Amino acid sequence: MLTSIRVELIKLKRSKIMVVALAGPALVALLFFALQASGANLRAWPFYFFAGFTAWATFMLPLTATIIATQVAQLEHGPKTWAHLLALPVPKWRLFAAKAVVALGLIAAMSLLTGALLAFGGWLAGALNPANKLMDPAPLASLAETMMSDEDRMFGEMDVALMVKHWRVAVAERLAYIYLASFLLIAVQLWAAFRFRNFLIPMALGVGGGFVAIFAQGSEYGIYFPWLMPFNTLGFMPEKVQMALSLGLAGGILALILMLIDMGRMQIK
Amino acid sequence: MSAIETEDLRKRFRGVNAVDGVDLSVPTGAIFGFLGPNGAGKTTTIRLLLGLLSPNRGRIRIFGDDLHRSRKKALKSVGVAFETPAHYEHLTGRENLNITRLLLNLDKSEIDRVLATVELTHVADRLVKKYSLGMRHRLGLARALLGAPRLLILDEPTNGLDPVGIREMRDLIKTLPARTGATVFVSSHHLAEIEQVASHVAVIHQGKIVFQGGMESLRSLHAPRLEIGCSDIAKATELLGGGARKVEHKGARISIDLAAADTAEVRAAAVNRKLNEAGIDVHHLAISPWTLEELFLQLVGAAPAVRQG
Repeated sequence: MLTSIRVELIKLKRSKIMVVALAGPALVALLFFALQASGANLRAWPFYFFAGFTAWATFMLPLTATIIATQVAQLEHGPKTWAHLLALPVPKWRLFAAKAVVALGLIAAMSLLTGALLAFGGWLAGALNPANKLMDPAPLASLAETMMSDEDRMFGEMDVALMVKHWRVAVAERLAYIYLASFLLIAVQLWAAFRFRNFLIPMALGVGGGFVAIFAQGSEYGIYFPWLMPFNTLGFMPEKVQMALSLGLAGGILALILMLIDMGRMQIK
Repeated sequence: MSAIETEDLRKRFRGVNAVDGVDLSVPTGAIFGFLGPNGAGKTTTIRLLLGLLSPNRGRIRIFGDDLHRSRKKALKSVGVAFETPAHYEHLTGRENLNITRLLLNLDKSEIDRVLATVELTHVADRLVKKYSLGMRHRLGLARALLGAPRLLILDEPTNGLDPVGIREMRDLIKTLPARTGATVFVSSHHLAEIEQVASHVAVIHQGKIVFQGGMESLRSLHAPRLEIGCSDIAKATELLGGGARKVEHKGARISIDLAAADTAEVRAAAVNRKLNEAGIDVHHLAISPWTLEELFLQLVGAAPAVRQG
């Protein structure tokens, strides 16, 4: 399996996939740096990060996943190398699994990069103008505790005080949740990208999914929509976060397994 | 043991049998020509042999290993070069070969060996997008040779090449069994091309094998014809028509089926002499080979069932 992954990484050499993939994290970071630097002060680091993550989870992550999945498949569709690849004495599923691992790895890297570039943008905005400096909210944890009503606790809202106190952990956790909840949409994108030679089909699916997600946010069934699952991990209702995470991750793993079974039977005419 | 053995192989696409009850037996060590016009079922058969398509019926064995039951073991003996050489254009020739080498778990030195075999060492580090079509074909062949497979499957290896490229590729194929010890299965729609390289041949037509056997047997079926243009066609036809061979009156010319290629010149001289002695002036005398279309008409028309040579 490691060899198959290594082979996929060799194929990425000189391909433009990384340049295109970098656009998502860079645009999110640039947007929030511009907002912070122009005086739309988000005041505290966690607010700044959560705002940035919302943009990432809602639009840029699905778009990045669409581009990466399509490109990974087009590496074979473009030059028509599937026949050669699948005629080798290597289990077919392993060749597709290696591609899926590389796609998941690249999207994980882009998620981390989004967090890192957001942090750099926030720091830079403060460094350029101290008035725009973001503050560490940890000392205000007790204040947050007093602001949380019994009603909030009764309805299962997250413990804001704890989040404020350990905001760095909370931010890292949410970034990981967003990524893990995106497994289902990544699996769907990979499946479409492998199945259809025409790259417009997976691209249309990705853009269409992202578009529908905007309107599905208010729907009670929105929780089941793969393109909304990353966004839903940013909520403050633990059940909703847990649901998005479970459906996205478990559904994604199941979809990836089904995809491997289906692609292992692919007929090359 | 046969290198390839298929049994009642069948593949249907939307109700049409693209491959219809194909029984192939490719002897080990042979250069086996797989001949048929475009759309006859050559590529579909090759894709079935490589497990890229699942047959609706039938079995495939490669060196005795059942492709369906032990795909990995069966394909370990096979190297393949497809009709259209497909490579990663943004990588160099060497990098392309390295991908297959890694997947086959071979030593790095294999790349230099196969590059030398196809004479591409000097351009190995050039991007494939800068390769000519001939170079791409040879890189495809180099990729097929990685790991010294016992069976090489070459699907229309000269397709799209210029005459020089065709000759180079043909010479390369001819020397492969001696240089690599491999059995070569080569498909083509050019009868003359297969005649020049193959020791054995199968002819496929509309998904069915219409001939299978040694090259000599095929040659005996389509010995060349003698075309004659002369001053008195009617008299010449009458004069030459006494023999066992077929004599046809084609417009202003007569066509005679000769017994065999190696005696064609002697027979042509005898015909010329006979006509001259009868007072008929000969102004055209040419030995012409059969076209693939004519061969099919002969094979399909004369014997709908499989002919074994």
